[in-house]
Amino acid sequence: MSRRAPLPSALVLLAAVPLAYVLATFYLPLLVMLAESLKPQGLSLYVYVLFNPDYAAIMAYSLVLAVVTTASTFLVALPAAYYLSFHVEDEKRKSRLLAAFTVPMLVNFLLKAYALMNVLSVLGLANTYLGMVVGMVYEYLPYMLLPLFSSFERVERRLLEAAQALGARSHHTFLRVVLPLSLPGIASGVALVFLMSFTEFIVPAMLGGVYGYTMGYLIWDLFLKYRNWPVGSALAFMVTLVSLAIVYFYTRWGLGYEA
Amino acid sequence: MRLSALLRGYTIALLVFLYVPLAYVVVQSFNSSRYPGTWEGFTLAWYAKLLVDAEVVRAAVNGLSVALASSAFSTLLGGVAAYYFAKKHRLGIADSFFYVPIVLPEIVEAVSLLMLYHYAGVELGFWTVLVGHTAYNISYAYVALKPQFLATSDNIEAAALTLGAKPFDVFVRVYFPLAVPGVVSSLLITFSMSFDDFIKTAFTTGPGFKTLPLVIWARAARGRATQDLNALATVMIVISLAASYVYTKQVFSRSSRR
Repeated sequence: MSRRAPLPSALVLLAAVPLAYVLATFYLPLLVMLAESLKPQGLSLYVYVLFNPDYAAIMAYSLVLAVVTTASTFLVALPAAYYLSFHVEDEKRKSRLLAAFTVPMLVNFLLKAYALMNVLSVLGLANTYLGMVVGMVYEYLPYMLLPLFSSFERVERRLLEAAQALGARSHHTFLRVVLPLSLPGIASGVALVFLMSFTEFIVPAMLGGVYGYTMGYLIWDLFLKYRNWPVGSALAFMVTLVSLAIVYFYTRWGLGYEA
Repeated sequence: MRLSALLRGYTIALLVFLYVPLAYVVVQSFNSSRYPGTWEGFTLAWYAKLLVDAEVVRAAVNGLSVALASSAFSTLLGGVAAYYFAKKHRLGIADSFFYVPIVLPEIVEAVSLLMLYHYAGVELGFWTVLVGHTAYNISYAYVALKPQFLATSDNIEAAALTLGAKPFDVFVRVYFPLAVPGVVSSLLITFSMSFDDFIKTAFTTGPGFKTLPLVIWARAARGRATQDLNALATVMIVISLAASYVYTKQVFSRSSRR
């Protein structure tokens, strides 16, 4: 057994500072938001919001957009992630290519949407549904590609040789060996992209034109335009619950892993 | 083999798709044509125009000061938390506590903080934006620094103690130097999260305090791309790409060393 330093008591006190800070500026506001949504009429406001045809339509619309985005991003990222992991032999080249995909992640969302707006208008796709989906895929691609890639990397290569030796065609190997073994990464990418795209509104607002009115935009308007805080809070609180539920189930099923 | 060539072509095409819009903005920012489109000659006029645009300069200064302060505060606070929980070997609860701010959609954080500020009667501006950015940045700093502190083995610490170091010295002279790469990535990532932040800033700022993303939003929402906006976008793209490059390079060199 190695000897452990007793933690200096000053440090214990210091560690309380970040905890208190995050409690006060992140968790406390969530409680304020819950209280705000319950203030006028308790839980019946939630019933009203859920059954109000206008709100329900926007929620359903955003849900569909999030599903379309997640599915398209998955299909677009899959071949590239597969190529990087299984077909690039040289490790240096592999990490260079991977970096090329991840470097744009830190470029501002707004800037990327703006940059894409330029190109989409040249192509005549600005303010169309297709253009908006292209924009969503553009923004979320690295968030899907990275987890897919890292779970492909974990697939034991000998299993592929075994499958081949037993006579499996390459697409069978992919569908029945690689894909099932990569489920954690797929789940991770899908959950991440779905979560982010459900409330995304910068991309729809800039690229979607009339198609761009999503859940995120509705919440934005309810706070900054209509000043209807209780309804805005109720919607935001439902988004919170959905997000936390996704993250909870995802880690609970043991699908979460350190990237 | 044919499949491999096909996949290779596809992957390259995808990278082109990622970079072409950015390159287009950069190229257009040097185009002397009044509106983005056909090339009419090289100019730096749009950059000169930016430098005398009071709103842009102001917003740049605002954004830089918030981002610098927020990255310093959050790296310090997140670092203390990461160190403490890594030492206690009790990461389960702490991880969940600090991960929630990362996974929760930003719009939720933004509206809830706005209401807290409202009921607390705080005047909106520099401080409210700074406090808001730091709220999620602590989590990013925690995530960036935790592996560094975990990687520093208890043996090194035992050696330092055996050689007569005080616990405080162990932190300052053993842990901290070993955690420097983590500190650098933490500073980089929290800086760019804050500098690029749009949603939370939009909700927690007051009249007169704008950052660059807010300026871009207001101008781009007016309809179309303009050349001075392209120049501004170019400056920001280059800064983010540089920061991102440094960060990515560091992360990759770290993981390949392992």
